[in-house]
Amino acid sequence: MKSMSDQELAQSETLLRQRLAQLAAHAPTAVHMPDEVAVVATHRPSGRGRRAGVIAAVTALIGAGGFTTYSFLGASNDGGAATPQEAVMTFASALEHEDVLGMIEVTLPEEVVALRTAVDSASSDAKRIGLLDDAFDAGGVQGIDVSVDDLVLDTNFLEGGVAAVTATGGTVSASFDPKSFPYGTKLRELLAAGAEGTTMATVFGNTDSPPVLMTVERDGRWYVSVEYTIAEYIRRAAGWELPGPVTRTPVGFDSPDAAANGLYERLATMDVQSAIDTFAPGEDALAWLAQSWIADAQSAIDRARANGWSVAVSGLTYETIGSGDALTLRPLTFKVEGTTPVGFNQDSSAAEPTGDPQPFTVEYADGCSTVTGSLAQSMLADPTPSVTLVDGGYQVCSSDNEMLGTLGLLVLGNGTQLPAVAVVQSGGKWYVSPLGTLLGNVTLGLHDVGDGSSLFDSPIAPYIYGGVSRTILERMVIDQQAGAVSEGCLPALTVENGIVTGVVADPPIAAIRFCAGMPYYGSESSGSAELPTVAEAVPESTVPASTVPASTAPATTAP
Amino acid sequence: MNLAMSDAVPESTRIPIVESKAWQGSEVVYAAAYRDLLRVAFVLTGSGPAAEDVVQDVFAKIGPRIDTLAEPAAYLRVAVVNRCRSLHRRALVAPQPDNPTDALMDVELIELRDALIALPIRQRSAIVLRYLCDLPEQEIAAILKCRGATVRTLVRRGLAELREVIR
Repeated sequence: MKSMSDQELAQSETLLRQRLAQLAAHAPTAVHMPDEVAVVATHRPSGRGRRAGVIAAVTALIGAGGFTTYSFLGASNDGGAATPQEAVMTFASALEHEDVLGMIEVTLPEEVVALRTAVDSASSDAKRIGLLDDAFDAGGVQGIDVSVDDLVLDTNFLEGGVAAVTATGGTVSASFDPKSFPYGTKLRELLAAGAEGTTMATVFGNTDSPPVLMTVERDGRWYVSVEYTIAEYIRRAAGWELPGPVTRTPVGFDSPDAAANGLYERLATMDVQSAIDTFAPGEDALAWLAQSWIADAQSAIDRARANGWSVAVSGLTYETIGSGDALTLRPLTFKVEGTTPVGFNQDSSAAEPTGDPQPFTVEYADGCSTVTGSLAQSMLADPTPSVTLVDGGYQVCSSDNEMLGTLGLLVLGNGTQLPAVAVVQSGGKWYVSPLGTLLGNVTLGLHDVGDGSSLFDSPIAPYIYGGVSRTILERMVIDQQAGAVSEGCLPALTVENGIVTGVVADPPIAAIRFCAGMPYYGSESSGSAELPTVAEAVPESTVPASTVPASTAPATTAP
Repeated sequence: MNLAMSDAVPESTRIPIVESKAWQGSEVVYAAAYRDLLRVAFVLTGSGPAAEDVVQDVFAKIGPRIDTLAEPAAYLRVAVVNRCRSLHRRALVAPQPDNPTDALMDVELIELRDALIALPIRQRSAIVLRYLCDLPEQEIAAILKCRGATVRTLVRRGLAELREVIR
């Protein structure tokens, strides 16, 4: 960009004023002169119907936006950039404008739908449940001001149309003004007293591991790739060599369910390469990264198989979220059957199996997983309050999960649920979208919070209330002596005869904060032996009269 | 062009907007304000039909509250700018090579319109608010939700991009 002298600037300004006035003179002049203007209905349908409406509307918008973006990018040179550096500069410019949607628009076309879906879905649900105000605009986030200055970039062209663009100089500074940020009513309530403005600045070039954005070439144009960037950070952290170009043949399926089944079944049979082959054409980052570890992983899997591990999945049915060519499928039912090496869960140091493999099952239905057989043994030996013991195993329900079910499910042995799978249609076939799957599982956490329900009772509560939710707090305090509980926490609790019996229906925020600062009872003295056993639920109707209302709570002191 | 939803709205939810205090009950004042907004929307979207839709949408949404606003004209202008930006982000307004307005415009103006449309929407908004609406930097910063320094940067970069087509 050429710089202008003051005189040139003044001349240009004058000319532009004149030209804009001339251009504006060609605007339509017909005034719509109604004697009345229609008022758009503001009432919102409630419950599932409204959610379905929101999903349909968001999906329709994404579908339209996605199509336009694809068309726009594909049909002209306006999409992408001429060089990897230019792509990153465009991305940085959108960042500087706090324009999340602008950043998405310069990313790899195959990733755009997943990113737009995630942003639209998350912001829509965050507004619906009161975390964000309706004024929140992902195209220019209020209250956050980002500045990118003097950026110096270095490009490393890799094989297969991939280039790593590293920031070797420059500064990114960001400031956060909580007064301007469009918090929703519920979050503003929570943060009313505590939110403070912050400013941070990062100077590039001073670290051994400078930040990198990966770019990918499509039809002679370069795009920023979120998937490749994530993969590159994983590669660096693991210390793996740079992989070569990706050579794989994506395997498509005839229906969305078949694509999700295909992924699960291939994962169950522990064939990593064939699982990766279910990924959509163009979403190659994981395949790119897998070159670094797949051989080691497969030989480890083969050893596990030889030792007695086997897994098979069946009975998969799904809830379909979304419409059109990009869907998220969440398992409603499934059954995992298999065997573990003998001694599993009891003596993990055993190098060789000493007997026949032991069978196990994990069956999921109606929001609950029932685990039996070898996987249940350690839990049966030392059950936690979150499980219900059943014949030969235990059952755990999603409402008992302490954190987002999606995160907990990664530990299958804990028996929760399988992750949702995002699928996309391309060329008449359905494929798994790894980026959509990653983002979709995060945004489903917000999606699952019901209209008007208390955030404290929701799966995202621990992320909002400093690590506690109703379920967690109940586990912490039920059956404890009220005298052992911080005074500030007591207004959140029901107490009977000096013993904590539960958590009140709508606990005061200040009290929750005190409770969140409390230690887990028993953790300091004699470990898990003092953890509360199976918590007895206290029905609302039996909440005793000794519940301490906030107005009569004793003066609070720091815990 | 009619309001798309007007047929579906019951009589009880309609209000007489031209009689609003904001226009002192004058159709002339209302029309002048309406045309000002059309000009802003036209320059921002590069499309006459899109400009009409934007302004009508804004009136449909804000109309019922017009009398509660301290500065209705300024408020409506901000709403129009935001609506144009929103349309841009959703890619609902795309350059129209066969724009019927072209036949009535000089080549230089068509070039300016196309150059404006090619600018990032924030840069374009800053340029329009500064040089068409003659708003001061701080007011533009408030509309675009950024710092004054950012407005200066947006305007400077936008102006540099447009220099070639305004000579």
